[in-house]
Amino acid sequence: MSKELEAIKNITLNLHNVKAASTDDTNVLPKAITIEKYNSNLCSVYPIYKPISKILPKE
Amino acid sequence: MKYFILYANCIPVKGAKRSLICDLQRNQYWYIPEGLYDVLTSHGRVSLDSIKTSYENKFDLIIDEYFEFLASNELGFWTTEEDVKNFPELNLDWDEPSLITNAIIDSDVGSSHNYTKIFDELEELGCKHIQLRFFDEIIFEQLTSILEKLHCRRLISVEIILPFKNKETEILVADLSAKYQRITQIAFYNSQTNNSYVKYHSQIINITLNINSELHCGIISSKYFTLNIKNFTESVNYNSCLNRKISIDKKGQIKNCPSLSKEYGHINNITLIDVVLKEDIKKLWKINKDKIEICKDCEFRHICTDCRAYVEQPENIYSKPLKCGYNPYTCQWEEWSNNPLKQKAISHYEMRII
Repeated sequence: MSKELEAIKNITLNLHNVKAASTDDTNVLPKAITIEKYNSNLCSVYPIYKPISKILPKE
Repeated sequence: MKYFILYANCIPVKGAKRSLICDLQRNQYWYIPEGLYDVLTSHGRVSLDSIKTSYENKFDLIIDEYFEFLASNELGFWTTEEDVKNFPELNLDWDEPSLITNAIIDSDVGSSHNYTKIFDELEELGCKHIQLRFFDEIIFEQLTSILEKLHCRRLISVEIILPFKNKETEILVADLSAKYQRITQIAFYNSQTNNSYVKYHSQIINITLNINSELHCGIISSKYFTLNIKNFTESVNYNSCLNRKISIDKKGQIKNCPSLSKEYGHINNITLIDVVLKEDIKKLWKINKDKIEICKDCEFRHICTDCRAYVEQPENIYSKPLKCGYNPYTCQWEEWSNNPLKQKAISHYEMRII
């Protein structure tokens, strides 16, 4: 098999796996995962664009 | 001929097993397979027909399905050949007018920080965000005295982490956000419950864990993911934790981060600006995720933050953060502290005591 064909085959496999790769449920199209804004209360007038430290447990 | 263009704020990021489209405007990310990543990135801005032809028209339906998915979720749009040039890609350069953007100041019962000097010097550096971490009980009047020193400065936000004493003190401290409006977050550790609520414009957090030292820092979790243009572009170019950060540990030593061992001098003997103007402190700023082992293959690398203080191989500054339990090769999250391969590093950092 030529390199090109092999590449296409791999891409095909991946293409067929798109839904599976996107969610745990293969029949569902991927849904967006929305990131909670840091300081997720959204009440800060000037929200911080990234965590200053990562010392607080987040679970 | 039809051309499909991703919106400039929707940026594909390749991972080892799957990829992401990061929507920097809506704070969202989408998982996509490697095949779609290749379709989007390997062909440049060519027409749909050209893309299909490059796969010998064997996968037309799948490719159609993909572009329909992208268009229906507003990740991109159809346009014509003439208009393609009118939609340039987002410039991913990053810069800030401040020499320092954020700072951590640790203290415990043995600390004797001159907060006026520290805040004056941070002001000079243009620092916008400060986190104050108290590893021992702090008297309410001491806390208000520190906050008073932040009055009339250019600072934007202050976060406070301190031990829980009792409910009355919690209410008193939480009420400080009414007077000191730069306070955006107050976290009480060693608390009786885990909860959070909003008081005035601040987030008040209660955590049962006893965060009694900087050893607790460096947690890598999807809960810490941040998706916006500023963080993404900074991460593409620089270290997402340490860039433009300066810290003063509980002994008064100036560092990149209180958890790192490298010291640049005592705050009483040297100014912060003298430290920042030296190249030494900037070395770690330049370690972006593309230089870090394993992270460079992770699809989350530009929305995640980094940790250079606690790494899997303490002798290798380019190794993966110790407290990251994600494996980009299997796409699985696991509890990092149970990983047998991390036990040596955990012992090295003496983390068993926490």
